[in-house]
Amino acid sequence: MTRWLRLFFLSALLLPTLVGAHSVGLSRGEYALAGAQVQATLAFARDELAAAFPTSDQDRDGDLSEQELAAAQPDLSAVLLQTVVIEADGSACPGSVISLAAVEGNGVEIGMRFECAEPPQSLQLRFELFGQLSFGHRHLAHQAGTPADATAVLFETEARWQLASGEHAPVGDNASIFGLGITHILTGYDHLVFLLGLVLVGRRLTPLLVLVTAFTAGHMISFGLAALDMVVPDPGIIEPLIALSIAYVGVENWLVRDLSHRWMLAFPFGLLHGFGFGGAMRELAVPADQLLPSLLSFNLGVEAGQIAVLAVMLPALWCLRRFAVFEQYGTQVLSGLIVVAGVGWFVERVVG
Amino acid sequence: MKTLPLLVTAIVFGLMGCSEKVADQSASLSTASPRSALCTSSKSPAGSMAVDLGNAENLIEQGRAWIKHARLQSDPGFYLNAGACADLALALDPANAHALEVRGHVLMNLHDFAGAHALATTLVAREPTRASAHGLLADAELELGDYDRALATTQRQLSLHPDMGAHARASYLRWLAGDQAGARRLITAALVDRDPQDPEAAAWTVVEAGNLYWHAGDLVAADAIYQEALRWLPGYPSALFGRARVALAQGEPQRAIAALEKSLQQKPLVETAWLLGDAQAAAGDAESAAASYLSAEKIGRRGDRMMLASFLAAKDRNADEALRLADAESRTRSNVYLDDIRAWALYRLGRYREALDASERALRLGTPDARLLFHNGAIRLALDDTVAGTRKLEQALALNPHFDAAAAAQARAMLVQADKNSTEQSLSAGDVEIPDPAFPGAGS
Repeated sequence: MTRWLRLFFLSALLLPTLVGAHSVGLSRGEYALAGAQVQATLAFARDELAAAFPTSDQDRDGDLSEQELAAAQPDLSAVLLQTVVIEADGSACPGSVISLAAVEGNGVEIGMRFECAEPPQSLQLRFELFGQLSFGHRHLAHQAGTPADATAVLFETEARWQLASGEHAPVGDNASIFGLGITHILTGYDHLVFLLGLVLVGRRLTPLLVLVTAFTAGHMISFGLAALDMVVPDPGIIEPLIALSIAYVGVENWLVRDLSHRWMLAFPFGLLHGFGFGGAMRELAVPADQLLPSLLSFNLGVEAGQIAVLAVMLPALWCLRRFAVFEQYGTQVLSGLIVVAGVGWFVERVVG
Repeated sequence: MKTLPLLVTAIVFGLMGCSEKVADQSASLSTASPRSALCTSSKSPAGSMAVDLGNAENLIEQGRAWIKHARLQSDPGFYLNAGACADLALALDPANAHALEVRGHVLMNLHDFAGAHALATTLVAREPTRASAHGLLADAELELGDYDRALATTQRQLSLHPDMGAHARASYLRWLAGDQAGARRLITAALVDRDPQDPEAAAWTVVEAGNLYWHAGDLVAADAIYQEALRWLPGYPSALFGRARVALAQGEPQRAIAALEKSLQQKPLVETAWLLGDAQAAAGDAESAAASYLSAEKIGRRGDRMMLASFLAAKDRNADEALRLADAESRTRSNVYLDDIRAWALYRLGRYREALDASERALRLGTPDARLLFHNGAIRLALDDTVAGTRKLEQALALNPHFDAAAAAQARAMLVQADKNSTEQSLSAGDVEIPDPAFPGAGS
């Protein structure tokens, strides 16, 4: 950059800001194409929506409470359906607002679904809500499955955005989906704690392998059902049950020493945990024709991650058992901690 | 215990059976930082300049370019882009003073005055000889209502580096304190430093000079200066607004309408739509005026609650809302104009005593703005303080008889009424002496 250009930009900072600009809003949208369907998750600041739709702010406090938001949902939905438009091959896809909820930190999260006639070759977003929002509002639009830096910045005079579609539709290659599976298990602390609880009291290899296989078979089945959208239990029920399963394993560790029949419990618990993995797979919004290979890749990633964890966990436990102190107290103490973690997660998931 | 596995299995399959396909709400927003997208947006004002996200200096230049772009395009959204660049630079180099300064200007323009003040204070403490940091601090101090500190800080900035920005800032502060001659002297000094490479900054400063003459009622000088601003930057919205204000005062509403429509197209401001409505009303087009007033409200609701409050109170459209908006705005800033808006909203609501307190705060610096004086006078009359009330109204009309067509007419009518009341009171008290009906200076 030349010196004069630098000075040119610098002078912008020297002038007084006596005549201030307006407060400016920022919203985000995550758009996922799956076959002929586009799912959009939009996030706005509540106070900006309150200003844009003053009749919804019944107590006129400049914010939208959950009650006000619920009452305003029909009107807000009507406006959103007119102003957030997905066009597939030149035709607008019929849309619907599937959720609208207040979220932490002054936010509102809105879920929308657009059903196009067929998988599009050309897909465009028309975000025409700017006329209702604060001047200068920016909408950060991102398509699921594309790199984070592929985010588009939309504003009033640049309100259209071409999404990747057809053969360019973002899926992620199978290697990256495999990697996502590994990451998912390694960062799923509740599953790791459950796994520790399962293997904590086992001494012989064969019953341990049967146990882990039963757990794996269980979660592979339910994971597949959830990922294929065949069975999608309410996460509000599944997640607390997963927490309870962790607490239960901890309690049982105080009572049993024989693992020969534990696989019978590991299997249904595996089913529970698999539904949790299914949600992560659905986030990828993979097109229907690539769903099976992607599902397989993700599942293999999860299993690879689990094997890696066991490869560290089992030798570590065997080593620790050489110490009399661990033999005497270690299992009980660790099981107690597992119970505490399970109960804690249960409370958090029910109350939170 | 042995039945437990069966029980759990039954529960799980039961869940499968009774579960409905819930809407997929799991596609949570990307947690990836949007900063790089905002900073390096394809609409980058630096044109072909490639932004190196690993280079703090490069990011700072880009941030400055966005600020410039925001001013030129009259689009505050570009400050978000600038802020993103500053944040990225600060992530690389948290102590970088240039990046902090860009961040500070973004905070000011996005109305986070407290945040800007804290940042500028840190910056000044760290680099006390950095003139531009003092400028930023002075702006934040003024917005937070600390006039004396703002003046002292600007004085330090002038001592360190007396450039156009420092002189313009000092001029405004002097004017706020009632020193019109000092303000003109300082703005003249600012104009000496105009840079042809930066026409927007020059035009902004010229308009500030024009405003000094407008507030003093010198229509001819103000108009000539606004024209000069338009020579620096053709179509500059603030200059067009200034010229329209003069044209309306000179009885040429059509000329005002043409300028305001052009200005509004480029920069939609409450005050522009408001004045357009006044001009249309003056031209006898009540329907268009009503539409413009509605437009002023709509613009205000899109992010400028202070001017919206001013408009609602001035036009007596919704004093309750005006007061609520002014109170909300006072949580982020405090200045004489905000006090004046509160005063006028309270007056409209008939809460005269509170209105007077607010109006007195608005006039605490002695700001020579006819609107502030008019409001104070009207409030005093409502409180039966006829002598002080008429004096303020006379001062307002003497300062700038054209400050606002509707308000000036109201002020004149109030003076006539006050005079009439005073005469009637004298007569009913048995005083046979008939005073001169006109107050000195009234209607001038």
